[in-house]
Amino acid sequence: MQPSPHASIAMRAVRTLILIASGVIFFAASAAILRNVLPAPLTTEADRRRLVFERASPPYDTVFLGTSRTYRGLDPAAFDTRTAAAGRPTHSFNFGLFGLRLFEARRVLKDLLAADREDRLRFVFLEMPPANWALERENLQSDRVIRYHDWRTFVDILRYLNQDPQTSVWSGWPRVVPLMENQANRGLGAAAFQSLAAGEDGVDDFIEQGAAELGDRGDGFQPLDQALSRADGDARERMEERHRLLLPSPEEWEESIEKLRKQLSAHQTVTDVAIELLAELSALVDQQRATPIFYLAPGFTPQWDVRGAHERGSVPALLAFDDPDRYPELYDRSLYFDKGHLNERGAELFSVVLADAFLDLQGP
Amino acid sequence: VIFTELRFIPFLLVVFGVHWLLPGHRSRKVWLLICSYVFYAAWDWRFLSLIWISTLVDYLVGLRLGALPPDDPARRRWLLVSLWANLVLLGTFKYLGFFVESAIALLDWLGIGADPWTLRIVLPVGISFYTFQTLSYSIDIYRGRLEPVRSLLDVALFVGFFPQLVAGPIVRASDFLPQLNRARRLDDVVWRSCILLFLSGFAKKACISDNLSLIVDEFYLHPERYDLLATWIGILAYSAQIYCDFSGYSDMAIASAGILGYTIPLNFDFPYLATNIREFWRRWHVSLSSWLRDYLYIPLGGGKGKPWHRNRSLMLTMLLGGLWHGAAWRFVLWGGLHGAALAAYREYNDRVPARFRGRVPVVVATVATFGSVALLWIPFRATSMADATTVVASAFGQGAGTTSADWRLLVVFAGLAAAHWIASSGKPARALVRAPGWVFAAWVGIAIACISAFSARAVEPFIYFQF
Repeated sequence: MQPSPHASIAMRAVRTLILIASGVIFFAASAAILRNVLPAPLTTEADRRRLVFERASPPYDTVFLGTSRTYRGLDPAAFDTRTAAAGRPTHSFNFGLFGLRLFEARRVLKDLLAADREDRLRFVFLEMPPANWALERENLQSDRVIRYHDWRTFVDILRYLNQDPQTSVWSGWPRVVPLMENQANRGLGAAAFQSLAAGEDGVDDFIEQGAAELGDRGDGFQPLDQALSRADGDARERMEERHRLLLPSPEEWEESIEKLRKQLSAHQTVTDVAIELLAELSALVDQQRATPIFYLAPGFTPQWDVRGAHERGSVPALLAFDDPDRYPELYDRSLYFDKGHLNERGAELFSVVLADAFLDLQGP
Repeated sequence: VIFTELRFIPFLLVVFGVHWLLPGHRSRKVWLLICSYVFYAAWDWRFLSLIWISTLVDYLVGLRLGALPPDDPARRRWLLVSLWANLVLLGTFKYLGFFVESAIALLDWLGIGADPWTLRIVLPVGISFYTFQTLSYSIDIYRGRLEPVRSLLDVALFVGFFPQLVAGPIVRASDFLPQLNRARRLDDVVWRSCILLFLSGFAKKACISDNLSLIVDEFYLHPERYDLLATWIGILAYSAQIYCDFSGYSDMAIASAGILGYTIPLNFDFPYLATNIREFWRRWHVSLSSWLRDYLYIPLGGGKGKPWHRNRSLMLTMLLGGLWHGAAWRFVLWGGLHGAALAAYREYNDRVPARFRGRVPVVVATVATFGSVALLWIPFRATSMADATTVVASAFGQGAGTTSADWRLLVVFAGLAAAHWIASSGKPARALVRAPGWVFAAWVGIAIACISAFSARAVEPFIYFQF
């Protein structure tokens, strides 16, 4: 008896689906094998800082992980001088990254802690991310974004979007692309080939290429006014324009401080997903037998209600410098390169103030 | 849209899905034409007008040629209309700036001052390919080898069919138009071959060509800096890059057309395994070399007549073939050198008895042919004649550069050569096409994982887009 045409079509459809499923399984298995076999690529600024941190001699025992506000506004040398003067010396490294995201911080922190091979880290300072950049919207296909878009982060992002009343969970759909690229190890083998094509020691070359970004002392700190003095051409023009446009006039500055005072009493509520992530960051540092210390850098960007998170125990130690009444010296216009970043003098002062707060936190 | 860009995959899937869901043959052709124009407009919608002009002119010329008796002298005039229209388009957008600049340079050299003005004409992507296609349509009708097509839709789809629109293969009207007469059937699609071809093309482009472009670009930026080893690595890298880039594109174009039910002829047949330069041209960019043979070389006299006449036809064809690649003297030089090599090979064939010619081992002949072709790529790729001279000097140990390269790259090239040789037998492809379903599915899964991991991060435009 001949099978009906419908049965035949159904059989073919089932067979096709089974074949596609087989292909997907083999793809996933191959991708997992390749991920473990291929060398980790050296492409992002986080890779460069991790390598410098890992190779430092003597090893660093204190690290500041944060955004450009940390990168441009926290001077490890000033911090170390202050702690040494207090009889509790530190040797610190600035691990500030432009626009570090909360979801990215987990991956960066894990890599950073793995680079502490001699277990010399004692203190990990974690800058609290401002509320309005918990998620980046640009460069979804950049190497950096793809690197941290694993399944777990993807699900966390969707949960975050679902909990945030200002966003829709559907706004997370463009993240399917970096997730796919992450799962498919996009460019991992190509990076290895490119290292070979470079012809020399890829690691040394890679560090050397970005050495200027690590500052004069190579401790990761480079204030914007110093970067401006060394820039030329288009880069210099862009920085000068930024300085001109983003540093408010004295009158506007006072208005901004007044606005900040009002914002302090109306912090944006932190979501459960963010609380979990902060607790996880804290636990990761604990596992390394180091002490996590969260801090809010001085600035004008609206912050999360991290004090609430601190009270709930997710953030064990919190040093907040977002209050212009409590730290008026950190809100002097002359200490800023632009509204979001301290200049060299401001960075030095903030590092000293942070060191004092840190010493107070440690107790006598 | 570049075939290796992520956005091409959903585009192709939508085109494919809707194409096969549409009920009628005509509606499918309309859909394909719309998609083809959208594909082209994604680059620059303004230049769609050039495609329309080319299409319309040859459609009307074709109808007129078909309506006239074979011995009517007016046929020749109508053919000239097609030639004139297409060559004016090509000449204006591709060559006018080049000729103006060359004329100014010549006048300057002669000591006759000329105002240095340059034309800033954007080269429309694919113009060299589709003008040759439309020309073949009119010429074939003129020669009585093809019946004119009454359907403007069919002619428009023949010219604008997106898989081959921007970088070939140059499809002959006699190959493609008959396919439009019959409704395509999903059951006729040779799935495995298409998937295999698409993935191998993707791998060639994204994993080999794009990765090698980093080496090549760096090398040709300052060729004077490199020593003998690095120079040969640069030369080999470009030879591999241009082959993988163009043949990769052709493979993906053929596969994309294949899943829509259309057949586009193969454009490359493992050219680097050729044992002589003539065989190389029978294997490299087959659609162009056969077009040049049928529409230029043979009308010029071909292989008939005295040796001088034959060689003149050959040189003229290759010089114009070189110029087709780009409006620059280095392409003309490249074509001329290939013409000279072909003429020399013909002389060798004519003068050396077959019993002696047969004694050259195949390996030696293959390596010698590949070496010649690789060296001839130098003027094609170098940014100036001075750079080309520098590279040639360095390749023969006369360079002053000291920067070396990692010798392990030679192992990579040996691997590529081995893969080229193994694939040329066709056995791996045949084995995969005949394998059980789950084996093929597993291979596809593994291949995609490998392609993704080894794809260069930056998607480079196809080299032949600029031609």
